[in-house]
Formats: sequence, structure tokens, C-alpha cells
Amino acid sequence: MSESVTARVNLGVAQLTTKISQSALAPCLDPRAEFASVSGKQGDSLNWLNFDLRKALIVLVLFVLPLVSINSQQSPRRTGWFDKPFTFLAGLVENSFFGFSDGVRSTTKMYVDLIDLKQESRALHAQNLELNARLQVLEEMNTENNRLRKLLDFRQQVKMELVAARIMSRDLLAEHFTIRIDKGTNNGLKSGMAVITTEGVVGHIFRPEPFTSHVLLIKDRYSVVDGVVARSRARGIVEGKSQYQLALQHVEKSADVVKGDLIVTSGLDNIYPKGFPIATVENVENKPFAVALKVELKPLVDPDKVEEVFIITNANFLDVTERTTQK
Amino acid sequence: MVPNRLKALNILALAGFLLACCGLQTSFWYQLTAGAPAPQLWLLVLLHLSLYRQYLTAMIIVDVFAGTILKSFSAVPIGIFWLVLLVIVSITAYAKARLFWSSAKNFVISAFAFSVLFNLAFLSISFGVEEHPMPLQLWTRFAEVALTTLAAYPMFWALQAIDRWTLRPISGGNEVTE
Repeated sequence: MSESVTARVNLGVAQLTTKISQSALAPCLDPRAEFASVSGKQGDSLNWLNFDLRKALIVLVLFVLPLVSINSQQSPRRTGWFDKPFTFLAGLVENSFFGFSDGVRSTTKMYVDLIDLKQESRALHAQNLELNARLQVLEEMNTENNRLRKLLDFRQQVKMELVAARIMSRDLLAEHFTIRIDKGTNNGLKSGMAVITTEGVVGHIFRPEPFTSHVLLIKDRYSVVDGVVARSRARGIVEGKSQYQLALQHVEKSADVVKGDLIVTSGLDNIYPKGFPIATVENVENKPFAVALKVELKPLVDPDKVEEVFIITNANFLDVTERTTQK
Repeated sequence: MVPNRLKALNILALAGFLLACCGLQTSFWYQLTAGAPAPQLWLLVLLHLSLYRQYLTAMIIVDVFAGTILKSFSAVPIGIFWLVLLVIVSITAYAKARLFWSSAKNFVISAFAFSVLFNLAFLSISFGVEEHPMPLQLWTRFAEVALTTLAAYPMFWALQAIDRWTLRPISGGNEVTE
């Protein structure tokens, strides 16, 4: 066995020697060739001892380097000291290129994102508009819901027979304050019925028709309501003056009326139930030679801001004074 | 000479138009503006009658319109309303015999004067006759006069179209054929 191995090694060495002698390394290994090249004479067999150590070392390194490399691959996780500068440099270069490519990529991405953002912004803007519109509708519905709930609560709380109606129109002439509601005699309405809201007195029906009714508002100059001061029970007649003003007429000079007092219905006019709020006192004037106090009132209800009203079809002799004053 | 049936048709058309104007002013405008002053469109129909009909004819139609259509849109006492309309139609009839020329511009100027005259006459009569006179409401009145004047131009063409469609030619002042 060992003889065959030895024979193979010898054969390999012989082949290697042959190849070297044919290659460019031949002059380095053959001292005679070297000598010949120096002396200009080829094939001089006496120069073989003239050994070039430098070239031999180079050859040795060339042989050893692969062997060392192969050896070092046995522990790949370890970085040799000679690798460190190169790996450091490689790291630097890669890092630079990575930074550059990252910059290019991020710029490109930014540009693409900008395009996307523009489209997204448009879509979001459209969505925002739609949501705003929906929000407004919801808010409007919420307001309407609250208003209707308030009306329903009011209707359930007061023990009167009420008919709800919507305001359709107002008077043709600006100097008259009337409204038309969408309920008429077909709904059981009659002339002289009181029209109220949850806030207070609105007016009374003066011209009922089958499907609609005309309501004379308390601020019209032809309207009169018998009223009392809720606090002191001083009496007077509430008359319409203008759009934003009423007057409490025929109030005794000695009556206790001050600014801010609430005026409520007395119930004596057979139109409005007792105790419904009409207006608040805005100004009181006691002139020396006048027979009565001059009391200016501000109506509690602005019909221009009201959409629904109640018509009292049967008051059941109800007195809402306590409820009004508590409010 | 315009046949009576065409006259009747014209009056009916104007009555329908007046009705529409009143509804537009009292309901549509009110619902949209929530109580803001409105253009007095009905007043322009009465102005049209005052300008383009003979005095007596205009006065009768105006009174009929006021007592039927206009009254149903308002709480105004009809006696005072007729009195106010008598005054303004008479003054308009007096003025048109001297200052009349038939054009849209004339109608707009007349609308302004007619509207101011209506307010002045109404205030004067109310303060003179009624125990509780009407409130002054100056801002509302100014706004109404302005809006009425603005509305006069389109109303002129609408009213002229009604007259044309009902085969009633428009001519100048007192010379309108009956």
C-alpha cells in the first residue's frame, strides 16, 4: 500500500517538475538557465548552485499562501489581524455606497410617495368633504331630534290636549305679525285657541281654515293678552308694539314691577291657560302725571326662530304657574 | 278693442300671478331667509295695473284683488288697506299722465316711488286713524323698498309677458284700450 502511495507521489513530483520546467518559472528554478540568461550562454550546467533566495521566497509564499488560506478557513468566524484593515475599508466603502444608494432610494421613494401623497391627499380631501357633509346632516338631525324630544316631553308633562303644527308662512305686510300654520278646522282647531311653544305664548288663532290657520302673534299691535307679574301678581294687559317689544298696559302706579320680572298669562281672557310665560320686563317708567306705569316687555318667543308650535285644544282648567315659576 | 273674454282671461292670469307672488313672498322667502325683509312682489302687480290700465279699471281690479287675494295673506284691516291703495293708485294715475313712458326703466323707477308712497301712505293713515298705530320699523321698510325696486325689472318682463300671452297689448298710460 505504502509503496503505491510513494510511487504516486514520485510520479506527481515528476509531472510537477516537468510542468515547471516548461513554464515561466523555469528560469527561477533552474540555476543554469538563470546563469545562462545572465551570461548569455544557455545550457551552462555549472551555475546550478547560484540560488536566488528572493525568487525562492516568492515561490514559497505562492505555495504557502493557499495553504494558509485553506487552514484559516477551518475557523471562518475568526477574523485574522491581516483581514481587519480590509474588512474595515470594505465596511467604509460599503457604508458609503449604502448611504448613497439609501439616499437615492429614499429620494426616489420620497418622489413616488409625493405622487402617492398627492393622490391620497385628493382622496382624503374628498372624503373629508363627504364626512363634513354627513356631520352637518347628523348635527341637524340631532338638533331636530332634541327639539322634537323637548316638544314630546312638554306634551307629556302638561295635562292639556295639544295639537302640534308647523309654521308655514308669515304675514304679507311687515307691519302685521301673523303666521300661518299647517293645521286647521279639519284638525279640530277653532278661532280663539291659544298657540304656544315650550318657551311660552306665541299668539292665538284668529282665522281658522279647513287645512291651515292664521295665528295672530302677541307682538302684533292688535293683540292683547291678560297678564300678571309672576313675582308680585301685579296685573296688566300685554299689548303688541313692534317686532321685539310688547307693553304691559294699565298697571297701577303702586304696583310692584321691576326690570327682569316674568310676565305670565292670568287665564282671565279665556284664551291662554293660567301661568304661561309671555315676556320679561325690560324697562319700567313711573311718570309723575301718568295714571299707570309704563312697562316695556321683551317677548320670550321669537316666532322667526320657531318651527313647530302647539295649539291648546283643551286646557282642562290647568294652572301652570308653579311649573313656570320653577323653571 | 279687446274682447271681454280676453280681458277676463287677463285678469284671471294676473290674479293667479298675484297669488303666486304672495305665496313666494310669505312662504318661500320666509322659509329661506327666516324672517328677513322681503320684496313686495304683490305691490308690483298693483303698480302694473295702475300704470297700464285706466284709472277706474285699475282701481276696481286693485280693490278686488286686495279684498280677496291680499286680504287672505294678512291680518291687515281691509278698510285701511283699501284707503291706502286708493291713495297710491290715485297718485300714480295722476303722475303717469304727466311723467309716463313705457319701458322697463320707467317701471323700476315707478316701483321705487310706488313702494315709498305705499309706506308713507300706510304710516300716515295708520297714525291718523288707528288707536294703536303701526310701528315705524325704518330698517325693514328701507330694505323692503330696496328689494322691491330690485325685483321690479324681472317683474316688468313677467307682467308684460302675461299681458302679451293674454292678448292684451301694452300701450302708454291712459290710452290703454279697454
